[in-house]
Amino acid sequence: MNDDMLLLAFSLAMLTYNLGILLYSLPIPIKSIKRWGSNLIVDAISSSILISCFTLITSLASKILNILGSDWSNYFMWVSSRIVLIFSGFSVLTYISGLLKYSYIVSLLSSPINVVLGYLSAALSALKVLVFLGSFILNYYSYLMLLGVILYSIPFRIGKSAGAYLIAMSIVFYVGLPLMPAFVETFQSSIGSVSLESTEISGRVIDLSGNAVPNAIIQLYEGDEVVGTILTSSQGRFVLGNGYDLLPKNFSYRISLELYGFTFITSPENISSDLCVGKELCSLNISVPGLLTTAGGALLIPLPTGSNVYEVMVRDNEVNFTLVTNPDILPTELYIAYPKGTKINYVVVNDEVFSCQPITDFIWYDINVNLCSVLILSNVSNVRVIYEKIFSEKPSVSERRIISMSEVSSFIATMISIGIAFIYSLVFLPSLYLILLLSISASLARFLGGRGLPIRIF
Amino acid sequence: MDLVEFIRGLTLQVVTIAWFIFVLAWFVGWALKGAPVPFYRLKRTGQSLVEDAIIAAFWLALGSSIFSLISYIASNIAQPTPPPPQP
Repeated sequence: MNDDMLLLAFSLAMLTYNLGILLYSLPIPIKSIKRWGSNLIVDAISSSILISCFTLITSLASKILNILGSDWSNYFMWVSSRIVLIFSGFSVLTYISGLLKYSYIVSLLSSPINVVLGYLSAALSALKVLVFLGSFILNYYSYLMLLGVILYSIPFRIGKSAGAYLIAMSIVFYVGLPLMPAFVETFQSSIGSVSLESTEISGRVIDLSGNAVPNAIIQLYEGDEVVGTILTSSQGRFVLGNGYDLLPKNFSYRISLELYGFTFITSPENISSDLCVGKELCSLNISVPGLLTTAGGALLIPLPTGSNVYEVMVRDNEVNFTLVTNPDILPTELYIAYPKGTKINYVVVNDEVFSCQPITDFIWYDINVNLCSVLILSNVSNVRVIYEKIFSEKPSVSERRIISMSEVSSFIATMISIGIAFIYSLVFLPSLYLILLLSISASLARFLGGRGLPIRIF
Repeated sequence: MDLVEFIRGLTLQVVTIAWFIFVLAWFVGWALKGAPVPFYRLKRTGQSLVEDAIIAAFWLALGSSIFSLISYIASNIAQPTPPPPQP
């Protein structure tokens, strides 16, 4: 293929040469015709030199590539590592925007994330162009040069400029493009990692016997003001931070737990940033000593003040425990709160059976809660509650997440700077380098024959 | 390759025409130079036509030799350089 194309170019050069002589010997005394003749002869000689030196030029390009220490495999590895980085950035940002499910956070934070995602798409497109350009030059640069040589040899300078530019461009890009990573690495800013630097505190809310407390409301107080309202999941889990909240760097909130209209003190009483010093992910279990509940939140038994509970056994449809109360406050009442979806069959206290009829009912966040009470006469009582759970309900409460305004501005600034770093390093710098290579190609093309060789033989 | 054959045929025709034109230019040049007309510029034109025809005939005759010489020199340059001597 190469030899055939070189042969074609050589035949064209011979034709040009003979046409030049033909024009030169024409018996017409017009100077411009003679000048054209001599120009054609010079062109033919210069293109025949180019054709003869074709292998020399290609081997010279490879030699320069080696001397400069650049390597095409390094180039492709660099581009693919950047593509991997962009994809990881995509997944992190998509994950973060997936976490931001609450409308007032979305409106606040999704716009910088979308801006960065747009920047990343632009950077990815630029990298795809670089991959295409690299593989095109690597696979076809000798063909481009051959095409350039053929164009260069066409008589009457029809394709001389285009040919010279093709030859120059293929040489310059073959040698220069693998040096792009070095160029970009010299000037780029850090695009090491895309992450939301925010702490996350997660854990479970458990009652005195270690059972999870589902669908309960955690209220967070700063002084006397409620700053956050978090609903526990059906497994009793809660998450503070990491997309749900933008926590300030230093914070300390008092916790109280609310369930079926009762408010409980928790242990620990406070949740603070000291938990997470030097860590991004920390876990904290909040226990509620005054609360006994069953799986699925079918029953809630708030313990009388100053009493303790032992030998708790929670089975399906049955709770069994020993209640030790303070003898000074006897007789006392043991309350049992249960939602509409639960039916209490009977309560046994020290072998005495009670039907536990509701003494009152009230609405707690759209859940109809019944309350019954049992009179406790002895300071040590064995209590057994037999119940049926028909269905469970979630309180219709809108969570109130903590958004620290100082963190919002730093989050937006971080996102924008990450986006700009990507655009700068993966779009602006490669574009600048390509422009540099194109201008070098133009210069070399001019040297090769854009304005003819500076040789006069007549 | 058909295209190469075509261009070679074309070159051959051009060479033939070039030789004819050389002969024509030679005769026209001498005719003008030897014409019994006392115009210096006419004689000068004839002179330059003859000179150009001779130069063209020289390059025409030398044509393939020039290309062979270029190929020869280029192939000599393109040969790989010998390895450096080992101590």
